[in-house]
Amino acid sequence: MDSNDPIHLRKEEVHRLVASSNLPKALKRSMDFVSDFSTDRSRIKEVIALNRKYSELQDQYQEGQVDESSYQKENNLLVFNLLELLDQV
Amino acid sequence: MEKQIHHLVSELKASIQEDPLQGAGALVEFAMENASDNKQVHQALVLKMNYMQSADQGKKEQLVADMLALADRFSSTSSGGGMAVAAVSSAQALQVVKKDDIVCEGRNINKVFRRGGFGLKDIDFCFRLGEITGVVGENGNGKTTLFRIAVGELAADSGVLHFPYIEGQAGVTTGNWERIKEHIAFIPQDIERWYGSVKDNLHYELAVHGILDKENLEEVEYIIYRLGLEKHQNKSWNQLSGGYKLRFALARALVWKPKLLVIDEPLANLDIKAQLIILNDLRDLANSYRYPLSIVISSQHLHEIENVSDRIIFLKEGNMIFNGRVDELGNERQENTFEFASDLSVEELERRLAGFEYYSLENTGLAYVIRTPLSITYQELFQIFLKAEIPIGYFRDISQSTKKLFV
Repeated sequence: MDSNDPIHLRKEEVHRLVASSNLPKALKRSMDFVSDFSTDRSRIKEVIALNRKYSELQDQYQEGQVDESSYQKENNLLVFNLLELLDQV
Repeated sequence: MEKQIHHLVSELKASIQEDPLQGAGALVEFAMENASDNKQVHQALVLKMNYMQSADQGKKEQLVADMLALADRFSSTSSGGGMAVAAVSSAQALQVVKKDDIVCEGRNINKVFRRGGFGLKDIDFCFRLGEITGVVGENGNGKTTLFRIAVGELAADSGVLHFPYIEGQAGVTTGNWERIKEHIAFIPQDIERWYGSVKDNLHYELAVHGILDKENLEEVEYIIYRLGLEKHQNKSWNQLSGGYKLRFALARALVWKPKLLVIDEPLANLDIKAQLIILNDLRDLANSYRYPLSIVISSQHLHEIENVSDRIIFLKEGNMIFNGRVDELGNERQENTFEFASDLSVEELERRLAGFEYYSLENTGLAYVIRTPLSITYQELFQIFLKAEIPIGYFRDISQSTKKLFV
């Protein structure tokens, strides 16, 4: 893979944001990624749905509606889904 | 090859055991370089993320064990070169807009206001797709006038203004302001009050631009989440803070994908965190691959604007003092300029700096500005300050910043 390929560079940017635990920015950049590179509009809906889920999960956690363990599990699942979505673009 | 991978994995495992956080970073790098399966890359990323988030010792130990187990799996499955690749990328076929296209260009723009006699004099500018142009200058020096001319709110007395990229779009002819303006968004410093909810206003804005039905719903949802307005989408004007009013103004401007976005003093009433978020978003949005836009932004926050901009225009009393790339700022300077804060008086500073060659030292009210020969670097000056036991509150090299044009 060409390391200067914009798709590769932008995906790597999201990977690094996830690795540094900066999920809000990783989600934003994933939206940009999908908007920029996907030719399938349903992907936009998927990335928005992940953003919505993340936002709801944060609220539930802050309000004490989910325990730490469930929160982590859901959060990880969301990140795996996000990374898979990027691979599918 | 297999032997080499085993050796690398052993080193990786040692690194994880010695310093798990650093080792987690190495695991991610290793996975990105060598994993044969994207899932392994994802696992490495999530393990590092979890390690960074976790405060619980027991959980951290479990994460270290998981990292070591993943490293072991690399030994048996690694392809030994190149990150795993998605099978087919629909993006390969994507047609993109060419960046660097000129969206708006002004040549010898002049404008004189009869009352007060103030005016812009022979201003040249060129706003390109994918670029951010920062316009700086003290209040009343022509920034807003320049913006109003560029967006077609004010006519110049003389000069040439054209929009090469926009005029190349279907249905837009040269000089047809009605159509040209369909591609330009302007956010003035004082955002006009609006009525209804954030979401309804965004739907309306898109409808005005002819985007209806399903596309309207999707684009609004996209921009709401992209700009972090999801918790505020049902709020009205009175319920939003200054920062979110600006976010809404940005959403309303960006939702129909203009080619030129002009923003007058957006940072004026924002705290530092909100400023950074807005500027980062603007940088990312300007760089869009499919929908790049040209952003022109004015601000008194010079350091922040220089950090985010590709080009800078500096206006003084209606004259263009500098117009070029940020990295060209100060290229032709004859001296270095440094700004610093110290509790000492000018007299005491001069006493302590006796024997050191400098051109001038002045107190600007908030800080000191010292001008030195070009041969003095900031490292050398800092050493001189340390030797002279000069207490420093902060220190900044402004030799290549528009800041030095203000002091």
